Amino acid sequence: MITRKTLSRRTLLRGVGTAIALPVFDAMSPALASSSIPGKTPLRLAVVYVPNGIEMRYWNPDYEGKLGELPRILKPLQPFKDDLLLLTNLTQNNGRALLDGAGDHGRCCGAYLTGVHPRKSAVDIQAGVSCDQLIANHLGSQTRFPSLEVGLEDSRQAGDCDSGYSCAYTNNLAWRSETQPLPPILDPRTLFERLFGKGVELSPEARARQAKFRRSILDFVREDTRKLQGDLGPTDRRKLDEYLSSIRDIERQIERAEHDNAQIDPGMEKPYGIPADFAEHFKLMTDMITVAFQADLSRVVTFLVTREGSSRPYREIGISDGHHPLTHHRNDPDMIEKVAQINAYQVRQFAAWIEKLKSIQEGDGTLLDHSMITYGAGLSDGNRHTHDDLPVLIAGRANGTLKTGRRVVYRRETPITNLYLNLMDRMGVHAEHFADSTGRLDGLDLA
Amino acid sequence: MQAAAELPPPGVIFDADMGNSIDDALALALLYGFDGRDEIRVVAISVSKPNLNAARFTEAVRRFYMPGFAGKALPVGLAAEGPLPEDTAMLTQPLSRRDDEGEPLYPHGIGGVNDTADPAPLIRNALTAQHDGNAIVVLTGPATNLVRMLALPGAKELVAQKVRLLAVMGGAYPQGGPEYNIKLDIPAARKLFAEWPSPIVASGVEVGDQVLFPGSAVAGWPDRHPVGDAYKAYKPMPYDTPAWDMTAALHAVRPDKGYFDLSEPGTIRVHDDGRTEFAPSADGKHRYLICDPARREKVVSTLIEIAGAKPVERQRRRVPPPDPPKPKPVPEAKPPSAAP
Repeated sequence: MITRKTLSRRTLLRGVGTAIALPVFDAMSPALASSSIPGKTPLRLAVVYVPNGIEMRYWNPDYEGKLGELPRILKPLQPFKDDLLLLTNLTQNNGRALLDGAGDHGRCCGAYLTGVHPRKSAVDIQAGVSCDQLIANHLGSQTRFPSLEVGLEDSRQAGDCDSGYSCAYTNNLAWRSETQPLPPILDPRTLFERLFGKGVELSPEARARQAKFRRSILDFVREDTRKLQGDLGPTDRRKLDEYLSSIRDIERQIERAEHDNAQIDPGMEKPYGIPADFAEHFKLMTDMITVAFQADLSRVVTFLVTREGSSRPYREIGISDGHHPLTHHRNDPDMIEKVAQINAYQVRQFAAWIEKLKSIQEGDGTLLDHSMITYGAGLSDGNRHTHDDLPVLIAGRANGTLKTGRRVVYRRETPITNLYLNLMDRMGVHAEHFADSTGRLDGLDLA
Repeated sequence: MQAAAELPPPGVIFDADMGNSIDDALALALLYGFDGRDEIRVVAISVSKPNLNAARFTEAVRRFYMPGFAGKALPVGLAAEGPLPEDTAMLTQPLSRRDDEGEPLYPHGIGGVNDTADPAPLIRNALTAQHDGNAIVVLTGPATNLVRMLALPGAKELVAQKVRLLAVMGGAYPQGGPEYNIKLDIPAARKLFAEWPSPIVASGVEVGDQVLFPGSAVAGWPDRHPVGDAYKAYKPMPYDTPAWDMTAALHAVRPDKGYFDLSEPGTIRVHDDGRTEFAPSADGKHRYLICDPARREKVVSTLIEIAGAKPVERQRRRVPPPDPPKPKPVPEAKPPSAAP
């Protein structure tokens, strides 16, 4: 029940088959909203992964320290440079062959968040518990979903996807156990219903009503919404309107994608409802992650933008060659150029998401201020399959604990798992070591 | 574990206080000579002298022996703690040489400390890429780097699994000292001999004192040779130098060739003041080298031959790793044609 004076952080807008969590309102915690008590706002972690490495010559600036002019691939993030930390020289040793021969794509993705050398097998998979899942386990019941796994391309779990490595390695980032990866959700409708369903399946009648009349889930919670609006002050009312509008926008995007998919053949096998357009799909999924963060439905997200080793063409920007074949450019300038365009295109979508996170006010800051969004790849040079100097950046200030706006260069061979210890610390998981870590990274903390 | 016949040449990890005395550079030249003959692979090099020019010189030597391989090898490790010791001429002189175009004669690519690796993960990572029992560690400086590596989680198990031998130049046997390398970091030396899981063979100062590497051999090397330049800069020529570090490296690579006698097994103990003492015991993991004057000439001629060998292009002699189970071809993750 909603009361006028105090509003529970767990308040839901309920309707038939629907339960919509709410963002933080002033009415939920007036003291928090009007002051800046550090550590009180939930911190969110998202790990965004792109495949096939990155053209590092267009990623690494030629300077250390304060970020200024960003290189070509990172250019879309220029307006947010003060919210970024660019980390150089981090290595994932367990992505290397280590006597296992070919299969760098399978290994680098399987090792990325687990820090473990994946077993080379197309059937008998084994990696390790990923650091995001350690955090998710720690946060446990504090959010409705301990973690969300999201992707855009392929969630096949069986078969050989890279030189004897199971597709489970190339198509997942999160691992709940050594043998249990958590497949990403690709279909926007599935993610939407996961976020806003009641946690149980909709009744056939409710689903039929929604489908038949194309009603918004907002219609189902209209009664609760009306009651809530009466109990909110003007600022919170505006915030609620914006929030519900963003949900309605997501619904419309999904409906449009479903309609478009019925009209056109996207040229590749896709479940019904997945937008054929990369940017649209990216936006839809990140919009939903944003809502999930806003409403504190989850604080831990892994986002496998496309599967490792992906050969997706990017016709949206005029590139009909597959991404993976292009990365084996053997220094052909035309191929390098196309890879750089794909890298920049992906960063452009990421930048749009960062812009959105930064535009959402929350307490004394923005949603981005209360987040750590990492972006990177499991390979650096996709042509030679190198596992050192991985591209790594963090967007967001992690509740004021990250000293952003800088590029920090570490010594070579510094394990990327050292970074994970820093991230885990901030999410409340204090481990002595993780996988092959040798300690925590210096130079991240706000001085 | 694979049968020895199927294994590639053993991977050698070399840790040295490069720049303090010339024999570290000579030992590295010796190891690359063996590498060129496919007897070993030098898989990691780290420097325990916290001096940037020591790392630069080491990298320059590597590039000299491994032309075209710079970007494919692990970086040089460099202990970066503590005050940086003074540069020495054996480091700065070769690094300052220029070719006719004014470019460095021995390029190294190391601008600052971040272009080097922390030795602990470097050594650990190098070990992870070796077959079981097919790694050799050669230590010719203080034990600082090895002991730091040994402190990493799982490192002792890794060493036990991968390393067949640690060859140490340090100490005096059966007792004596304190010897220079031990004295540089006595706590690390104590810890190393007490906790290192693999067999250890020590080459004491008395061995190298008896085996002199002749300056006349270096005088015959090409003018363009970073170790040759270092040798000439270390002391006024002509001079011969004790082959302390080379003896440890020689035994590490060719333990069965009878260059030296081996003590009975036992345990090496490092006293608080740096003196070393060997105590025989049937189950001990330590031994020390004994120089037989009758075989000294054979040792020296081997050192001259191998350390003086010309660089060999690695691409032509690269041994592929043993085949994993044949994968099914999957076009999705394969490059369009020949790919790395």
